[in-house]
Amino acid sequence: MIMNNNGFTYNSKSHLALPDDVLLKIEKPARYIGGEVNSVDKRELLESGKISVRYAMCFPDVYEIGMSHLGIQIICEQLNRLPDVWCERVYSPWPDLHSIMKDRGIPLFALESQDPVKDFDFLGITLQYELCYANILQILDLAGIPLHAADRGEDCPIVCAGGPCTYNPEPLADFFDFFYIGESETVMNDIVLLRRDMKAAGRSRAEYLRELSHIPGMYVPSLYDVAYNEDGTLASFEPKYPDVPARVVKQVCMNLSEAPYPEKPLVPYIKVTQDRVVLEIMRGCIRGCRFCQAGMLYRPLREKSLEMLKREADLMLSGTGQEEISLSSLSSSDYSKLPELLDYLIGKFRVRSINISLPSLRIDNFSLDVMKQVQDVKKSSLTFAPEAGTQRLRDVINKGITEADIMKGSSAAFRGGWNKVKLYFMLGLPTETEEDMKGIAHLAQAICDNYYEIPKAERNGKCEITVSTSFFVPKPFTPFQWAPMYRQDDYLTRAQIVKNEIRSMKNQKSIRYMWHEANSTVLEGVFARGDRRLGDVIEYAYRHGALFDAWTDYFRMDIWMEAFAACGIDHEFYTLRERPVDELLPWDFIDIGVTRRFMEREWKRAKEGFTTPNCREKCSGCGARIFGGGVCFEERHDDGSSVISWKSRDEETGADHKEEDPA
Amino acid sequence: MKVRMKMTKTGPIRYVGHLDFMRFFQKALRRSGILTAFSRGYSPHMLISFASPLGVGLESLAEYVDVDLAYRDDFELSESDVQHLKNMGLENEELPPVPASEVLAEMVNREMPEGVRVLLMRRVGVTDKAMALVTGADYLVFLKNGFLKDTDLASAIASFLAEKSIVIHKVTPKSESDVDIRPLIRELAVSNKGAAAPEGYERALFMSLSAGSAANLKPETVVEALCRHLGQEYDPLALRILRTEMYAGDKKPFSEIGEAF
Repeated sequence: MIMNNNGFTYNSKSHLALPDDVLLKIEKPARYIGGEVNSVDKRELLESGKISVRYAMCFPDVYEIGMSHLGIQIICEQLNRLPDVWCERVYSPWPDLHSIMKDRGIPLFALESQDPVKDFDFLGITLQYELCYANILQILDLAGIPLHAADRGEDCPIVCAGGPCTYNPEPLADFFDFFYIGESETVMNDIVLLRRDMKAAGRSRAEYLRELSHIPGMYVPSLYDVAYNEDGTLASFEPKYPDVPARVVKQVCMNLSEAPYPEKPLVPYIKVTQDRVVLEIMRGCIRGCRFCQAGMLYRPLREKSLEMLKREADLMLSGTGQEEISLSSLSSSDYSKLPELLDYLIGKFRVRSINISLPSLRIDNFSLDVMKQVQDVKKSSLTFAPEAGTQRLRDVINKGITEADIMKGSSAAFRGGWNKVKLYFMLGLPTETEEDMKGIAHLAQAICDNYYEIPKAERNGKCEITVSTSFFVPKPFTPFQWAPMYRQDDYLTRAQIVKNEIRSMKNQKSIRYMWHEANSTVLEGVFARGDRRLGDVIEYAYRHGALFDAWTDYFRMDIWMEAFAACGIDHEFYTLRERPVDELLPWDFIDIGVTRRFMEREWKRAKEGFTTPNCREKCSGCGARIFGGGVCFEERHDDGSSVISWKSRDEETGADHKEEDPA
Repeated sequence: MKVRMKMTKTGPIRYVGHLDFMRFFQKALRRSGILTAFSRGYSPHMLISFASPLGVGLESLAEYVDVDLAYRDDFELSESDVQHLKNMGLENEELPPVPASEVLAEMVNREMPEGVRVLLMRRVGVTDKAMALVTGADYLVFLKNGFLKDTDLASAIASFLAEKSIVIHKVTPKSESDVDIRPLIRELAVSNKGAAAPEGYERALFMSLSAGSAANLKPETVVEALCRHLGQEYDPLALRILRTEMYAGDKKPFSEIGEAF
């Protein structure tokens, strides 16, 4: 079936899993065709029998979101460097295709080979947010894999998960064979190769999982017994067998400069959310914001070397042809060689008309100067995240910025020519009062005043301030993991108070206010700190139509409410209680390095309004030092202010800390 | 120097829409190492223009795209051409000499997936615009087995073309109107190229239709009108469409426009 034209062979044969009439009918069919530039094709090796492990790596959301995720690309890069392993990608079929696949019985397939996922050795799913839990069941269901790990036979792929939500994996315990607690750069290859070797030796799935539980960081939920007290709280959480560890320790990669990194990232055919090259400059954060899970989970801070970053930037841009490079980290300003890195990037790439985007920078003179070089001041806006409206509440959350910082930053920005400012806040933070809510409006007004103090001739028209609030959800492994949440109405009342106060401000016409949905916040809160009993709820909701809950247009709270009722679960048990610090929490068996004792201390200090210095100012003995790296091991200041005052972690957890309270 | 490339877009990439394909093409050019010109201003972009957008799902053996390259143009330049280059920040005389078109084509092809190939590259005038030149296009329309299965296509086409006018009701997001498509059908015949057909599509129609900004007729519209003429049900999912050539003026193939280099 060929035809020649100027020496070109027209090949009309299709290797796609979806037939033409389906592809023509659905939205954005290019989501499902694979074959993106730099995707790894090991079909020839597969056909000649040289692939021993097939790994399907899944982001349980739509293609455009999943393709923007760096972690999956790191894992694909890492696994595909193993000659006999082929790691491919899977994303959630959009609802239009979902129903066609269900109707016609088309099995879920991986993008590269277009082969059914059911035939793979592993299905790994990254858990980035709680509202994707129904989508996980969709993936299993469409793949034709039994939803419950207990029902899977020897031929089924091993279903595992990693990512931030695995730090409380319990709501999903029924559905996964194991959870990977930690970073892929550590033991991911080991778990894959162990499967290969045990499969070759004819060992069973159960034998593999038992053996796997001995690898640090691997949590096999079926190997643990859980018991509850009459009041619904957790009574005990114990391994079933003596060889299974009682504590699962997070695995951390201490040398990121030598870790695998996608030097030729994928280039999608269609526009994805993060349509640029992403350069991770460091992992971890020194700041210690008490609401921030990532800030605790990814301790200690680990920087990549400047030389490595320069090399990666060069390779990634030339290998993709992307027009933009974005620096990724939790707080880019804290990267110690940021000026040198930016000098290099601007010097080398601006002339090639490549954009440089710099999220998560602190607004100071240095960063304003840099931003002026890389963006059009007239068109762009600056973003501040004060998170709370008053200094009292910012101290409670340990945000580490003062009103003066914000005023100085916005003033410098206005004088530099910017007139658009975005402000991010959270509502529903612990100890929040009406004054704190109104404080959001007052802060926005104060920034406006700041703008109009500039002589009219030097101003760039009117100032535009956008205030956005989201509702705070307490997360495991943060000092706020014991904090209560609120009811949906209560959240909306809080947003209403902010709205009314903004409307009463002098420059209210210059201030736009946007707030987040409240009902999905409640659901997120339930799963964030939930336990194993929620598995039934997730299954019920999926079977009754819950899907793509992270998408406002698809989110159906009524299905979830029905699911809670049908399963006899009081969802407010998980949200409204302030948990006592002596309660056994479902995730207490995981050890992230940062100790429970540190978090208890931080929770107490939060309620007392005391701040805690960041890691570079002073070590507060969080416990992450156990990993043998990070700021704790950086050179200290001459005044000795950050000298570690304790010798071992055991000693630290036993001793009482006596920091000076700033008050 | 401005070049016009002729390239194919076949295989799975036919599911990539026009705007996405343009962005994909720009990234391929960046990877290729070819020196391209950029617009001026705060966010400079490549100067790329496709002759005619191809719908999602359609394949083509003859996509034409104009690209401004940062190579010296050794053909005769008018005053306004020189000015045009200056507006892009380019001094023609200071630019490097252009490699042979085959070399440039190979640089691009190395960056393309199977199914996308630059077949030809010719130099065109600095201010020429492919989009403005398009007057017609040829298509092969493969019919899915079972679709119009009891119809003798040759006689159906004969009676269809015998109509003095074929009026269709055209609805766009902006307007509704009745259009006579008969004058826009230059040629319509049963094709003997069925041998190149995809599996499950044994018969094919050849169409030469008006295209471009003045009057544009889509091949699927012709099949729809043919079905209505025959009193048969139209099925948009039963077609696989391959664009085979584009024309300027009075049927001058695009591949003959411009100068070889």
